[in-house]
Amino acid sequence: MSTVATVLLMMGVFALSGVGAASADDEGGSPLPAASIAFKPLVVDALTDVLLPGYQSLAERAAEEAALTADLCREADGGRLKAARDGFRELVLAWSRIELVRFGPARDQNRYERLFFWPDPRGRGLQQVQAILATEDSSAVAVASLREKSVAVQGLPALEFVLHGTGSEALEDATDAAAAFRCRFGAAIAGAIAVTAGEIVADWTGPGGYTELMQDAGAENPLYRSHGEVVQELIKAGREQLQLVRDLKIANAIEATPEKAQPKRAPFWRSNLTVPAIRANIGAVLALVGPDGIASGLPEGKEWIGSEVAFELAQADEVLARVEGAGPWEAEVSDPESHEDLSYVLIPLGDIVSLLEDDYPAAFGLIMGFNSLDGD
Amino acid sequence: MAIDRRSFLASLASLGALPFTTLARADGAPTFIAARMDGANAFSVAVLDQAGAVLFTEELDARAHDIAVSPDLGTAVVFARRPGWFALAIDLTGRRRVASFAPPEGRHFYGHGFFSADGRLLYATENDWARERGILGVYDPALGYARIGEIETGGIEPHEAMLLSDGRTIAVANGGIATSPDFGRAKLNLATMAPSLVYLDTATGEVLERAELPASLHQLSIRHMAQAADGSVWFGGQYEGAETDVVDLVGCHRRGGMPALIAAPPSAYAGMKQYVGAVAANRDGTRIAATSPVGGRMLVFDAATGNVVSSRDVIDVCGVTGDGRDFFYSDGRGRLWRGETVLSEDPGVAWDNHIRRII
Repeated sequence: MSTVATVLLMMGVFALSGVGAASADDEGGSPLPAASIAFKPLVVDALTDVLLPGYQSLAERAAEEAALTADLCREADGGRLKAARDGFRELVLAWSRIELVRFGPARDQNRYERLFFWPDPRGRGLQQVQAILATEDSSAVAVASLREKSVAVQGLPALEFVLHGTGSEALEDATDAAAAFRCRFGAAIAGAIAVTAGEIVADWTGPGGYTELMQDAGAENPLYRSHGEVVQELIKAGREQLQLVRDLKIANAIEATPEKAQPKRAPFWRSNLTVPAIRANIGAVLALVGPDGIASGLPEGKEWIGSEVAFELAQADEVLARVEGAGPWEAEVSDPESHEDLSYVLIPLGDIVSLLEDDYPAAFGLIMGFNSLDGD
Repeated sequence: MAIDRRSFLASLASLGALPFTTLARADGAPTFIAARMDGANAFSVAVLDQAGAVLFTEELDARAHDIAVSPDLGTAVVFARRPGWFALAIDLTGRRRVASFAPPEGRHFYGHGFFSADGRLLYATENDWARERGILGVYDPALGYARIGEIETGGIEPHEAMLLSDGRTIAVANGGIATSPDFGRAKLNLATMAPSLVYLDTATGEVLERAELPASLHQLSIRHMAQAADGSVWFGGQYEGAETDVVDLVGCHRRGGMPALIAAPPSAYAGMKQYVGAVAANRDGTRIAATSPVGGRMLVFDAATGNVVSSRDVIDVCGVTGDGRDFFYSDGRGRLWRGETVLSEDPGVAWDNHIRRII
């Protein structure tokens, strides 16, 4: 591979070729020959089966949660609080199934951070949420003005605090004035999430939207010069999500021993949704890059790679299901048995992270570049 | 990071490519130095001669980033990649490591640094994450690299910093992106990030000037830079906003003015995928190169006119340094380049983000 497209500009004439142009390979994201792989159907399937339904579901769950919290505000009682909390769970799971998409419309206007301001090691979001509650800031109870505020007070972690944080029990008390404000703030957050999710859906599906950009990859496309590049982006997204789950959500929280565990470093510990959310994250990666996803396009003789993804992720999920069943996250990270289970989960997740940056893309003739993989 | 030797060999075999055979004896003077990965989870720093042949290597415990070369050309200090916890001093004459040191409690290296004009001090970009401050740590080579002070950089995340040609002014690229070692490399403040290019006085540590891009570009992280012959500072950015935004990625700043982004034909920057990984000036400072490993592209600008004079598509290109009128550069697939030519290729090596010229 010693021929690399080299374009020297002379006399002010500007002509550029895309990566791999010299190899006349218009399907691969790199100049490695991969003519036998039809990337476009893999892109279409990923969009139709994973990405678009994922965002659609997020928008729907958010709209439902906005209605449930509004209902709680209208007439507070234990049943409606439970319904709002149950709705929050569905919303978190919907988000967790699409969290891996860090490109596209979610990157525009800080929508990703608006939905999921995490990690937040300084607790900035919590401070801001508490300040709103303490001052009963009236601009925080209307969706439009809330969306003008910090990204940290209009997404899932903020709504979690409202519904599950200290003082949230008062939400079932119809006579508590402070709880009434808290409820209206929660309803506004749910409404803001619905608006943000709706914007993302619109920017994916509208004319000239991101779906078209990905489906119409090619030389004239401003972002994706080939469908191979799109597939590469999707594989990278799956890998990043698993690495984040492994390193930031699990390893970082469980630390080396049960005594050193830091359960609050993981997201959604207040609502005890940490493990269900992680399982949804892993399930989404499996759907995207597993045998029913992109791995279905692996060339002959490489099918084992898809099977390995499915096997290892199933292993991880099985152990996580056991931890979820054993008790609340905060307690389980310090429980020797669950701690050991969680430590074990790091192994299959690490294996698949390696696979997704190495053998998996290589089997498609794609390269995850050493320098481009994780920037600096 | 698990692109190992085996997979390199496998991927190259699948290309039908053969490693270059270096017949020339590597017995020249140390000319270039760069960090690299040279096996499964194995890292080293390599010193090369003028022809790009490896003179000697030093094994490292973890991945490294950039290197500072002392003005007497006798010492090179290799910095760990962020969040970095080690630096290693190498005697370029004796061809051996002479010291290793770490940042103090509560700080980590960002991966870049430089020597003072007289070589008596070494500066390293550091993160004071508890107070979310950018810091230049000051180290004394004569005292075994004891840390003798620090200077605030006036922004979050100082990435590359350099001593300008007057020998007294420091330019710092405050990338603006907050991270905390508790959460690895996760970006914590993309919605509010505020990068800057700050000039500091080595004598007083004071901020001499602070240059910022317009608010609409607050998500263009200013990270790497080089000084042109006319004294201007050229910088390369990484854009954290929407992929569909069309953003000029390379800029130039002259003291006392506003930073100006350098316009180029849209397709030129589009091929960089909103990411510049390294910036360098050629030997006489008349040309500036910016590389993008993400897009696999290097652009070369005329420093006087701002015109793009060359665009080269090289997969995973990143490390770049001046070489005569042109540039010497490296990629993640084991290749070293001079101008238009591949000098050598070692499929067992991935050259890391930066390469420095020693002489």
